[in-house]
Amino acid sequence: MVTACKTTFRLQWKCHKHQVLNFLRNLHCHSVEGENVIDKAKKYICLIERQGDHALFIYSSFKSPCKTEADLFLQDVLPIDGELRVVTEPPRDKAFGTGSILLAFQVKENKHLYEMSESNVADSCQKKIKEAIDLQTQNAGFGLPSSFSWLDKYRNEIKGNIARESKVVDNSNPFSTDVFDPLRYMNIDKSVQLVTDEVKMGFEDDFSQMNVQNNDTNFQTNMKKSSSKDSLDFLDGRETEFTESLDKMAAKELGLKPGTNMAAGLKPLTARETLVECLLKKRQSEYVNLETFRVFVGTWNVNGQNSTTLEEWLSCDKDPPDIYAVGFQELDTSNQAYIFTDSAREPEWQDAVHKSLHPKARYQKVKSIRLVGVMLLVYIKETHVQHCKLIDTDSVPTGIMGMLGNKGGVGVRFSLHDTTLCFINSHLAAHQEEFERRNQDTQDIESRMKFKQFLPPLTVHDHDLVFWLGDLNYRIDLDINEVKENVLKGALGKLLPHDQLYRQLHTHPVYKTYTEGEINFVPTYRYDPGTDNFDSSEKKRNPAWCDRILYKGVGIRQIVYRSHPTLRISDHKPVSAIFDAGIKVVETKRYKKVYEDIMKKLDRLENDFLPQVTLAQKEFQFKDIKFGEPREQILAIANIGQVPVTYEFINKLEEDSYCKEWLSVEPYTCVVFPGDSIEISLEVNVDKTIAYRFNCGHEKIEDILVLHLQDGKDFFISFLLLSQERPGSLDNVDVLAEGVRLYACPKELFRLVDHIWQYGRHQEDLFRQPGLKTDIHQIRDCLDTGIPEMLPGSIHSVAEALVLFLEALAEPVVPYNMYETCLECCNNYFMCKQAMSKVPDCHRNVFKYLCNFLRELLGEGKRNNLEIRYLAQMFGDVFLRQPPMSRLSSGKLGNARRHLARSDDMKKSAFLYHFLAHPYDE
Amino acid sequence: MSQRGGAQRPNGAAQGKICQFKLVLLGESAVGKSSLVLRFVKGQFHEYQESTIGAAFLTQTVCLDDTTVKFEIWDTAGQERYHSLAPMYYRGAQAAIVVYDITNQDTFGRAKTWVKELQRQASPNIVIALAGNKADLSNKRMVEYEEAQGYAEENSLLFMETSAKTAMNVNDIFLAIAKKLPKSDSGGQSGQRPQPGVRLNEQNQASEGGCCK
Repeated sequence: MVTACKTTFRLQWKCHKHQVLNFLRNLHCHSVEGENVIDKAKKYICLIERQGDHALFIYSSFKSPCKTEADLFLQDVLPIDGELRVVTEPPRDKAFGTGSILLAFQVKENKHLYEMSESNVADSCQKKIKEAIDLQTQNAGFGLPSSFSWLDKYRNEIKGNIARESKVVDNSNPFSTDVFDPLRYMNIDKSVQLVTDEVKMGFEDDFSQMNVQNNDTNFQTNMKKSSSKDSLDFLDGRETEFTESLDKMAAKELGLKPGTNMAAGLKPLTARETLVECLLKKRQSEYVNLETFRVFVGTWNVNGQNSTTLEEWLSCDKDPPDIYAVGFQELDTSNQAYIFTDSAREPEWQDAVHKSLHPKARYQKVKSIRLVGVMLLVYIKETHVQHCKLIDTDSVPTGIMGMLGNKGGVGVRFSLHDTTLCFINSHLAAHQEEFERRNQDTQDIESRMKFKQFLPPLTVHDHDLVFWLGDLNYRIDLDINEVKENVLKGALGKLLPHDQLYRQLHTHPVYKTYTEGEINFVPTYRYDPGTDNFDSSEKKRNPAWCDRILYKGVGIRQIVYRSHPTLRISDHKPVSAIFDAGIKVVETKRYKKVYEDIMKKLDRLENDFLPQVTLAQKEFQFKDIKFGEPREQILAIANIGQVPVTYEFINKLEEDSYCKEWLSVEPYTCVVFPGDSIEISLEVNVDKTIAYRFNCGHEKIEDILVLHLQDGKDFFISFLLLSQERPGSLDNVDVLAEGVRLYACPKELFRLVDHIWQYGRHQEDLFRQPGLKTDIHQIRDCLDTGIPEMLPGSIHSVAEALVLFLEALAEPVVPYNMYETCLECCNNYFMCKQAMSKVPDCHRNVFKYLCNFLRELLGEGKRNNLEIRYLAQMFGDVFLRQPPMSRLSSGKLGNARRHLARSDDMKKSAFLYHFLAHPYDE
Repeated sequence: MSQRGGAQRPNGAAQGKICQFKLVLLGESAVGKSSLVLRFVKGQFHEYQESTIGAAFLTQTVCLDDTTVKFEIWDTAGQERYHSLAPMYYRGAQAAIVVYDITNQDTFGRAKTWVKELQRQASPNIVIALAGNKADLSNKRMVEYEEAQGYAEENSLLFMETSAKTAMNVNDIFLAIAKKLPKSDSGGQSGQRPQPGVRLNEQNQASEGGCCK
């Protein structure tokens, strides 16, 4: 039931906003409904992306194999929305071949089933489709509904197609309409053209949708209103560059070229870039040196106070650090802070930090980010700036409803040399008993923090070194007096086991990978502002180590961990830690060596895995080509490489078919597996449409076919056709010009005519019944060799041989150059005769000879039933042939052209009619 | 839609991006086109290199200081009978090496006609290099170095005498081309295999024009 005819063709879609993500080729897709295969036509499924929405375009083909886009028409469009489900299942029916899978798209109750052969292409397509569905679900989850209004015009297109289709189907008699009705083809051509046109142009019509999207983004920014980001100019510049290149990057990611998007067989460069990156990382140790960088990390809950000078906190050490990460909480506790993006406190505190950085070095800000009251500033020594790259930030609110920014975390990440660093500043849920809530907050921040300039976005875990600081708000589960007593005694070690975070660090999964240095400072919360005295207010809050610094990563050594009690404006004391961190610094020379080595290996791999085949033969000679006798030779292809090879005969430039009409290649494309070989049948058939070329004085016909291996090389296959070289052969020379030297007309013609006259003039249905193929071959050989003397075969065969002989003449009986003239004057016998007088003698003689012969046959009309109109029509077409490459000669007949052809046929028969009705005298 | 950024290398863009270019070799048959490629790509040399009937395809990467250039090399058939098929391969190429044999004056003449054809028919900014191969056979030299160099200068071609046998100047000529190729943003737009398939849109237009007249 299912024919396994394979086909490949390349589509080049010129579309801008529609990105053709994947195109299923080589697939046998059949619509299936219920248990019945209802439509066995080959289908092509195209995954199209437009502004983040995806849709499946299902095309049907008129022809098999489908070679051009014109054979395609759009049959269905399935938007990938919430209603589409994709199921793959093995075939249930024996009707489907083994090694095939069924792909089912379910839209509400309707199930669209497509069968496709199991292949990598099919796999990757399914994957792409599933990805698109996932993306859709994700977007819908974020409240970004897809409208798919852009699909409407295609749906209309389909309606048109179906209407036309059903019209054709309505006709019960398949012959009642001409199967090759040019109108039908024209229409369809147009519709496909239309589709592509719209694809080409349809990139301005979605402003409505764009607005919707804009609103969405506004909505999102509203949600996060109270946050801000800023950074040094030079870093900002880099950021915009990231965003600008989004489209390009995405296109590159998919292996698409800007502008022309679909390129079959194109290996995306990104694939190699990703691979190189991965291999480089693996061999990192070969080219990096670990260098120690000093990192200062500080955190302070400032309780909404105005800024103050911070030297005691930030630059109390002898040596300047290389990196500063300074976090604040409760920077702005005013209600406005929730509503407005800007906070006056932000620049104020930033300024304070900047002024208080270590005086012995110059610093540049890497990035700062604030979420309501939670702010993180990262500075780096000016000398390291050029090695500090790929900076990104994100913030995660965890406050009321998990949305508001009164609590939450902010993060800054960047790469320094070959090491990635991430700093998180968080302010977790308050209150003594809420430690589980705090764990949850940390978990939320960690999982929701995404650095989105990366594809896929980076998470906290993706970094070599992570520093987690902030007002984590964990308390000490002891009686307040006991705490205070121990603090006074300096017995901090007794308190620590009761510290909530201390316990979580060893038990809760979210903290398991983090380390904290030993705490040797008194709890930093809660003080009466302006003093070093613990909370004396009515609430009498338990002193606690709220403000903490955690870290993780290989090569971090903590130098100090301390608080700074002399800063008294807040109810918290600032905390700081100093680390020596091992940063991987690339040694350019060694790096280059490794890089080049990787490239070399990849090149070798790529070249080794190129498709490789051997051909048994690259030149084909067909000797003694005979008219109307097909001949076959075999081209054997053996796959000697390591990968499956898809071969395909491809068109040469400016040619619209991969081979000439006299050659057929089967199969013209196929997959050959390593170690396998396949035989391609090459069949040459010289029929009357091209026999004249041999007759035009050429003794041979040559052609070269291009055999292309997908993703690999091309072979040239040469063809040489030689005809029989005996003189007088049917297909050798211009018989008319040649023959006239010997006889009044060519001897072959004479023999045929004479034979018909002698044995067939009384034959009923002469020229109406077809001859036998075998007879005709014998007749041809007899004409060529002169043996036997009498022409073999039935009289009908001889009659057909005469017609074929005339049709195969290089120059028709009425020469090409007279064709138009003769048609123009066909209504006037006198002018027709005048036209004939301009014809060269040899041609005119033959014309006269044949006309006389036909007229005499008509004289026997009573017995052979011949009538003048029939002969005029039949031989008019044979005597007058349209010149090659004329307006009518091209293959596809349009409506107008068909009309023209019909009127030409009438003119031809009118022309000849005169000469059959009247004796031809000059 | 949250995907704003593009793919980024976590390690920084130190090694720069990989730019892909299509390079085609042209020249009379038996001047050593395939041998040059084989030497460049695999470091090998075969005294009796089989004649190329078709177009061989290999890739090779050249690392420059700031960028990496990946060549997609199309080594074409040199025989005259396949001449008409050459445009399939040089069309869309960003670079070409026209090869002649220094021991054969005719091949130099043929090289000149290839250069002319490229200048007329190939992409206007194609980088063309002229390679006088078989430089190891200088005792049989028929084409003077100065003559070829003069011609190359007039036509602003890169020029080197090479020897696939001794490897002389083989890497160098590819390197010189890699350096000369514009790297601005063309990495993506360049790396394009020839599209040997039917150009459907073009074809449609053509047939449309045909039927209306």
